[in-house]
Amino acid sequence: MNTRVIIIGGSEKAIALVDTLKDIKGVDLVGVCDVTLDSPGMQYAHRLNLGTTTDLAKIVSEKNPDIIIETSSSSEFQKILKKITAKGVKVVDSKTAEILLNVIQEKAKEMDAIKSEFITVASHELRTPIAATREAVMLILDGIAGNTPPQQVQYLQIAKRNIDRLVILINDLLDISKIEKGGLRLKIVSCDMKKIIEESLEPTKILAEKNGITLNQTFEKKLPRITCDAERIKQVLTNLLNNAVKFTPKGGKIRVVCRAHPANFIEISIIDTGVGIKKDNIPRIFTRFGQVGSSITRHPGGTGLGLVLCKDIIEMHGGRIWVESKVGAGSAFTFRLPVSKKMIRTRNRIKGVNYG
Amino acid sequence: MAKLKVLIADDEVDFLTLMGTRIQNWGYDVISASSGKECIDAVKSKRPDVVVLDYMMPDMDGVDTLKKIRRIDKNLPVIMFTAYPNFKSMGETEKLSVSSYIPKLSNYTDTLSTLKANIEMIEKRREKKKG
Repeated sequence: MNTRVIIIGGSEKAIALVDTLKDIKGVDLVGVCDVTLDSPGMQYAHRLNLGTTTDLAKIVSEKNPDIIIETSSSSEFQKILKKITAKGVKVVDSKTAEILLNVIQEKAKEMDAIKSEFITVASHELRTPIAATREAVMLILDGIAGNTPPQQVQYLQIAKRNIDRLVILINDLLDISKIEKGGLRLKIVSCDMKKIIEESLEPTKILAEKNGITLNQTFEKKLPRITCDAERIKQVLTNLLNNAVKFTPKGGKIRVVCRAHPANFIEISIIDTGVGIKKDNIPRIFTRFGQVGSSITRHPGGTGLGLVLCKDIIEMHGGRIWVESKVGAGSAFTFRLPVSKKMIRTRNRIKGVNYG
Repeated sequence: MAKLKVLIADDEVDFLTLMGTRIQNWGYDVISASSGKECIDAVKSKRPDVVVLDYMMPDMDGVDTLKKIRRIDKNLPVIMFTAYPNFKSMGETEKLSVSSYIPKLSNYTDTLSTLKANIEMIEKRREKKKG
């Protein structure tokens, strides 16, 4: 339950508080109240679509705040404030609020630093034994440890496949944490999207064949060259394609469609005839650990980290990603990338991104 | 010409074993050291043609080991493994002539191919000098 806050006042102090509070997790700025709608603070709040009013009593009864921050001690509001305090709402002056907010932000920075260090160390600790295990298996499979009977080879291949999955998991985890601490960087180059798609399709074709799924692609004749991070886009495509294969039963179809949208976007859709996603689950699907369908699918596994990463990568490019799906019919994952590089954010500066 | 002698130093014993097996399989002689001190002793006594060194070791870190190696042999090619690619620390080692830095990854394949390419390059240079 978020803390609901109302700010009283319309001056520079109020504006500064609005700016600080609107980005803090766990706090809902539900309104700004002043003696006039014309003060700079009120106009600013109005532009941000925050509730603005001169009627303090009304907004308090409507929005039920937990805290009211008073940046101006207007006599008009004193009576009302006395009543409100009696009801248990905390009224705080702006100085106190600033001090507390500074403490909160310092704590948040500390936590970020602790988290980043933990992730870096944990990743190294995890990667070392996984790398050694994988290599030990590879040495045998490569024949360097002598002849290996076929049945042993089979078990070792199972081991190798699962180790490779672990590697991807850990890399995903590290990527997610890099995004969270603002460390993910895009390497922007001019790209041929057709080529990028074809390269991503290569390994998927083999996988699809093994699972009895048909895979085909459609490209619009003229696709503009696009400015993007080719490796990261391939990562997104691979993720979406692997999901499509995972959730499409034998005999099903996967189509990759690429077209240029008139308003200078390139749009790519991955459409499958798989199990589909329940309507209720769709909003959660691009959130961390929002893996859905574990009860429906016969293919457990994965951490659901992939789609969060995909969304972050696409959005850093200034694009959009979404899904349309129907249970029993299939899903279509689509993302759009702007052709121009003006929309691209090469470093992720968003702090406290809400993954919930 | 005699087989190239590769000295590999890393405190992780399994890493030493696995890497050593590969390097031997490529046709080189392998000398193993599991600490900075063992590494220096081996440089003095076994005269390797190239040293592959881990950046972080408990008794003596990679940079100190490298400094000591340079006092013995200014020109001995040294390749460094880094687990944390860290530009600041690489700056310290730049003056000590490191041939190349290879990251340690979850998957040895890339690490190995880069290592092999580097060792082959050093081998070619050695042949040029002697031939």
